[in-house]
Amino acid sequence: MRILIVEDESKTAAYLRKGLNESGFTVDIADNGEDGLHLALNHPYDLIILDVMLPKVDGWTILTAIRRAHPDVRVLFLTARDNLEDKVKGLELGADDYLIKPFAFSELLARIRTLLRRSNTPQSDILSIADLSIDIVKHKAVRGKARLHLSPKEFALLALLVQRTGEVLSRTLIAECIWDINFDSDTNVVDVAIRRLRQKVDDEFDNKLIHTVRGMGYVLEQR
Amino acid sequence: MYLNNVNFLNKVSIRTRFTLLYSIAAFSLLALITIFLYWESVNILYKTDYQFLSDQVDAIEYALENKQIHLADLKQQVIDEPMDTEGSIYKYYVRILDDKNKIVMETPGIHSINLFNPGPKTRRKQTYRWHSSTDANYLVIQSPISFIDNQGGWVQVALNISWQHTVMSDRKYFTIALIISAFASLLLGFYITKRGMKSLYFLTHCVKNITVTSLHQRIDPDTLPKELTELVSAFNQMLDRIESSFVRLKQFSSDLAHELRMPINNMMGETEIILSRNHCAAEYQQVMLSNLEEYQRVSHMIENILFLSRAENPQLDIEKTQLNVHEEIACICEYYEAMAEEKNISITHTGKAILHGNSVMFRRMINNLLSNAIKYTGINGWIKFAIQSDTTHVCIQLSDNGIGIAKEHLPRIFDRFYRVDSARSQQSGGIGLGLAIVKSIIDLHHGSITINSEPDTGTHIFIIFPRTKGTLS
Repeated sequence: MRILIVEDESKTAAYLRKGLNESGFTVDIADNGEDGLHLALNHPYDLIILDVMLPKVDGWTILTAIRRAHPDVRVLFLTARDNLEDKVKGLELGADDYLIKPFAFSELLARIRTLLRRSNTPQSDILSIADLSIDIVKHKAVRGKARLHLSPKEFALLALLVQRTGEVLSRTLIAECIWDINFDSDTNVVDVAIRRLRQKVDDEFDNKLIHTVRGMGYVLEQR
Repeated sequence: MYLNNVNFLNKVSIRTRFTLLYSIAAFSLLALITIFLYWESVNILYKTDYQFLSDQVDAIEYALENKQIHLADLKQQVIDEPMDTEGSIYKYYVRILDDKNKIVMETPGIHSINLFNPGPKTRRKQTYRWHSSTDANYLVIQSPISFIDNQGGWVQVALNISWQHTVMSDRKYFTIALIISAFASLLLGFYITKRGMKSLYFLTHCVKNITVTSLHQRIDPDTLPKELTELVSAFNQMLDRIESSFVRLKQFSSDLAHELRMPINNMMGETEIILSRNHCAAEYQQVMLSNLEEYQRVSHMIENILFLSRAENPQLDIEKTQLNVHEEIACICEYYEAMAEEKNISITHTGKAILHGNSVMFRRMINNLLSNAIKYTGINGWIKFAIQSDTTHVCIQLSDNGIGIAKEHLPRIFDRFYRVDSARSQQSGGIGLGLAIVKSIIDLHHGSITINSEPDTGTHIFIIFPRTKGTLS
């Protein structure tokens, strides 16, 4: 997977490249709008991360040009401008997502993965990892041979973790996906919910699946 | 920024305006009186002259109509007496004509006047002014008379009014009087206005002396005239408001600096220590993690401060839709369900209402309130939402049986970074902006919030929103 980052703040660009490289992406960086536009138009990228305020050519212009040439490439806006009009403008011009600075890297990674997944084939209804399997349509979760008795929200949380196996999900992202809490809120709630889910999913089993990544969030994977 | 449009007239100073208006009024009054006096003098002079002439005519008529002509009397009336007035200001002439306009008798010298003869048809008394060929002005009465033989005739009496005419037509003195009065009223107007405006200048002086560093100063309304006391008290009230927001702002920036200094100090210290010597990877990781938590805290704080500062922007136009209040509340209750169950707190909500508002902001408000309520309600407690609405307002009441808030904290509870107990808040992860955000969301919806609380008994929060757009009266 190849990603282009158009970002004039060199420190931000550097850590994004490092983080994304470590997550298995190939990353190119442009530190101004002109170079960014040139790279975007002449190389096949799976995803482009764009800043709005850029030297020479701004993000809006680049986005418009990219959309004309490559309608399928995913574009994620990354900006400090956080008023609603800007967000609406970005999305109207054809951006696939919009992330406001400051942001958590795990959040960006999760969003990038979501965007790239969108273009892939949809997942099947029954997902399984180790001895856990869940049926998304029937709302059924089974660990080993035992059926897990989960509340609807608990099931939704487990389904999210299973669907994103191996991805670290931030508390904010979990709150947004499960409870539709898309503002800054008390994220202890997520910790409580995960703890309760663990009691049902992991407590009776030696092979723990849900793991805490300190400072970042939670991940479901077989270790 | 000026609140009103300014037209040309408003640019002229009050002092100039008052001076001008006063002078115009005074001058007009003086001019009117002068003109009236002049007109009245002319009138009185005319009346006196007319009366004098009438008396002469009457005397002659009397002499004639006595049925016997006393020639001596007539001569006395027509020739001697008028001749005696030679040199006096009442110099007059008489002539008597028969019906064929033949002169019967006349005062010597009347020829020079060149009086015309009365017309044969008009047999009635007439008064007119006559400008003679010798350039003198006369007032003339001409009256029909009858002689003893019933023959008709005329008597003409002419009074030289040249002197009166000269005096009255010379309006020089009136003009001078008017010019002087114009200047006098201008000076008077200027002086009176200056005196009247003295307290206004004093007020200006007082206001000029109030600066950022002396915001506590107030103007004593008792030292000023009654008209200005209301203005001064309004001004003092404005100063109160400015001072209190200024103090808040100062408090806010010092709090903000303090809040930022703490995590940054921690991170700096930890990083310096870990870098000063070689440590194992786990230790570095530990510091990085600790720093990450602090970063998140700062970032969280910045997000909240940005929200507050945006909410204060008067140009902010939030997107509003019809909200099902109970659904929005239920959504947040569901989010906190697990947390409440941990403490065995029951959260209930009753009632339904529709509200015109911003969904995300409304949820955020309920979220902050509920999060606080759960934090400060003990095990086995309860939290209740009661929604009520009438045609004009939606009222949301949030009650709990938690630890409550002491009286002294209530007035400052919505201030930014204000914490009832900083130690406890540090523990619970709050940054003291939750209720400030609640307040700003309510303000953006033109609503109001009141908190009643009794320590150890519980807290009742009342939020009232107007149902339609507009301000809450």
